[in-house]
Formats: sequence, C-alpha cells, structure tokens
Amino acid sequence: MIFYIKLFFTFFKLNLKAQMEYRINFIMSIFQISILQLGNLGLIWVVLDSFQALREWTFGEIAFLVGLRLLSHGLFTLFLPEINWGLSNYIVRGEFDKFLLKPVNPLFLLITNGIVLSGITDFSSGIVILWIATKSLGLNWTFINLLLLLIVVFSGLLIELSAYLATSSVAFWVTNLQTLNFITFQFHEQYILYPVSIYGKPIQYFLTFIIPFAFINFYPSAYFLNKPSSLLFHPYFVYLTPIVALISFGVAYFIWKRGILAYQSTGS
Amino acid sequence: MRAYLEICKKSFQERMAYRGELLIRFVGIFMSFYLLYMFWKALYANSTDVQGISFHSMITYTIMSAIMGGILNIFGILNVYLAYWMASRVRTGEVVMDMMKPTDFQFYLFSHSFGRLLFNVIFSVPIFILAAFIFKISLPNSSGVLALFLVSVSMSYLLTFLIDFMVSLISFWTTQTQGVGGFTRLIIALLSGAFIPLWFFPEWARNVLSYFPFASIYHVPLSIYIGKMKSIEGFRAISLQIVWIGVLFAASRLLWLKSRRKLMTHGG
Repeated sequence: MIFYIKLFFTFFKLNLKAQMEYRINFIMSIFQISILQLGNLGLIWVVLDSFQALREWTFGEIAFLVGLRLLSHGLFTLFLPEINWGLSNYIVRGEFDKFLLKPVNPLFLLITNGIVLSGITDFSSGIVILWIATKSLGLNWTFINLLLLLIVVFSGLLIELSAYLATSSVAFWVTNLQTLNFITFQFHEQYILYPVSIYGKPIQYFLTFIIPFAFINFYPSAYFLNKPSSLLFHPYFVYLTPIVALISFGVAYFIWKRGILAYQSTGS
Repeated sequence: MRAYLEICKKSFQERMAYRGELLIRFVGIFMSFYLLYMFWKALYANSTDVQGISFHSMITYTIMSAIMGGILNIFGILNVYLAYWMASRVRTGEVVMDMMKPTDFQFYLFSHSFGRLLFNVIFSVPIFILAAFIFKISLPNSSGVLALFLVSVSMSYLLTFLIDFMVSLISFWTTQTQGVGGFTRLIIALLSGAFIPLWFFPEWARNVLSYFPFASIYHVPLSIYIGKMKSIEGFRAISLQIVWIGVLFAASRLLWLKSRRKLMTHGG
C-alpha cells in the first residue's frame, strides 16, 4: 500500500512536469473552460428569465446541479483522464501491452499514466458555480451537509471512473467500438447538465440503474435542495450514492479484469 | 477553376474514407436532438407561446440549428476544424506543399472546405428526413421563405469559413491554434443564437449582438426559416451578412499577405 502511495506521487510529479511543458495551453484552458462553463450557465439564466423554471427547477437549482457535476468531473479530468479515450486507444493500437509488463496493478498504471491540468479549472469553476447557486438560493451549509457533499463528490468521481472503465474495456473484445464510449460521454457531458426528470422514464431508469450518472448530481441536488418527491425516486436516494459508486466500481473492475484475460494484442 | 473543382472533389472523397465515423456521429446527433427536444418541452410545460414563439416553432429552430451545426462543422467532437487542420499542417511542414501549388491559397482552402461541406450536406439529408419525421419539423411557410433561408445559410457558411480561415492563419505565427480556435468556436456557440435564440436575450444584449458577425451565422437563417423574421427584416439581415462577408474577406486577404512572410516550418 505504501509502495503504491509513493508510486502515485512519483508519477504525479512526472506528469506535472510533462504538463508544465505546455504552460500556455494550461493558461488558455483556464479562460476557455471558465468561459464555457459560466457562458453555458449564462444561457440557462437567459432562457429561465423568459420561462421561470425548467420543470420546477429554478436557475439557482440548475446551477447547483451543474456545479456539483463539475466538482467530481474536475477531479476526474485532473487525475484519471486516461480512463476515458486513452484506454480504448491503447487497446486498439496494441499499445496496451506496456501496462501488463510491469509488476504493478495495470489499472493503477493506467490511472497514473497521465494528468490533465485543466481539471483544476473545471473544479474551480464548479466551486464558483456552487457559490452562485448558494447565493441565489440562500442555502445554509451545515457541517453534516458539507460532509455529505464531500462523500457525494468522491462517489461521483468513482461513478464516472467506473462508467468509462466499463465502456472502454469493451474494446478488449470488440476493438474499434468507440460508439459506446461516445454515448457514455454524451450522457455525462450533456444530459446531466439538466435535471434528469426532464427526460422520458426509460432514460431516467437508464441513468439510475445502468449508467448511474443521476447519482453524480441529480439525487444529491434533489436532496440538498429539498425538491418535492414528485420525482421518479425519492430524494433520499442520495444516501445510496456511495453504495452505488462502490457497486459500479465492482462491476467495472470485473469487466476490466475479464477484458485483460481476453486481451490479444493487435500487435504493432 | 478546374483545379479548384478537383481539390473540392478530393476533399469530398477524403471524407468518404471516414465513413466509419458516421455511426458515431449519427448516434451523437440524435442523442443531442432528443436532449434539445426534452429541454424545450420541459420549458414549455406551462406556456404555449413565449416571445411569440410556439413550442413547435422552437423545436424546429433548435433542431435545424443542430443540423446546421453539423453541416458547418461547428459542433461535435469528431469534427476537425480548418484551424486545427492547418495548425497540424504547419507543424509537419505539409503546408509548404499547399502554398507551392499554383493556386490562390485562400481559394485552395475554400475548395477544400467546400468539399467537406458537400459531404456534410449529403450526410445531413437523411438526418433531416428522420428528424422531421420524429420531431415533427415543418418546412418553411412558402418557397420564397425557403429561398431566403437558403441564401442566408450560404452566407453563414461563407462567414464561418472566413472566420475559420483567419483563425487558422494564426498558426503561421504560433504553430498552434488551439487557444484562439477554441475561443472563437466558443463565442460562436454562445452568442450566435445556435443554442438559445437571441430574442430571449435582454434587449441591450440583443442590440449589441445583432451587429456582430456571429449573430448572423445561426440566428438570421433560422429566424427566417421559422418565419419570425419577415421579408423586409430578412432582407436587411442578409444585407448585413453580406457586408460582414465583404469586411472579413478584405481583412483575411490583408492577414494572409502578412502571414505568408511569417511562416516557419520544420521539415516537410
């Protein structure tokens, strides 16, 4: 365990140095990402000025939803970017062998293989947006709620990791099936920017039980904001978040393990 | 002229080679359509007419906007923009080969881009038919409106090309365009009415935006399409588009004259 922690920091330092080569990119990304996130929120504000609410969700409440997603997503982008497109690319190009040749858990190697500094910008935009939501809704953050928030953010990170790990691992059997990754990506990148209650029932079930992205921000927000239980599921679903996260990770890890066994290098 | 046609054909065939991507694009596009549909449905839950626009018109606007986005290559993660394309050619030195051709560089790139446009247009026909069927998109009220829309869309394409071209020339100085390119795309996405029509914006913002070239890329043709912009207003808006094309064309020639002396490449 100590070995892994040490290794983690060593790799992190190396990755940081590599990223520092592209300092200008990082600085540009600060502007781009914060404008993108705040701009998108601005558009929501603009429409809700005419419409008042998106299926009973006000501007502040949607900001809360968006901010919460950015917190866990920022951490994901910073620490685990390789799980997403990286993994399936390595498998397809036959470069995955390098992860199997070292006496360390291959998942650990994959995770520590790269960082994307702009995750910091995502994370801090998330904090700013949550602050905007807090101001606009007059929320009071109790110690218990902050603790729950922390648990939710880390569970969200684990859910995102699991979703991408599972879908990318499909490449072990069917190379060149990036459609799956893309679908996962779009659900995470676009669909959960809005309360999932605006979608049809099948999509709501899908985002609750199959790819449980609704646990990243929807159920937690419904809980923190005291949304009425007219939802498909009660806001108390939030308490399941860490359990859902662990189960997702278990399933994803199982698929990944089986995938490695099935892996035949495409050679290069 | 023949040379330009040949380039155009080449770039069309090049796109054909990536047919495999089409499935992903198709899935992605319809996922976006569904999201847009449910988003506006939730907003219109309590009202039939907002700012004089019915739900039906709004859906037509927003889905046509997404189709236009696919054609103009602005949205979607798999699109390679002219600016990124050029930057990579500058880095590899291939751009020298482009410049050595006995054609005008800007028209050379235009032909290249036009070939891609044709491919996108053909690809969009089945998408339009399917979307029209699923989401009940209507055609414009009269053939006159349709003609006006087509003229305006063509102008939008020229505007996008000119903006894209100028951004791509920046790579002659910096060998990369990620920063400025992404930034421009972002501004267009947020302020062109691609996602949220400008009539929802506060009046001052609407007034300011209507003078920028960005607003006329999406807002003008789509407002004409759904009949929000009537003939006289439509003609005025198209005239403004033409003025912008003139201004940007002159500016791009000037920038091109300056840039060609700046170019420094490695190998090639």
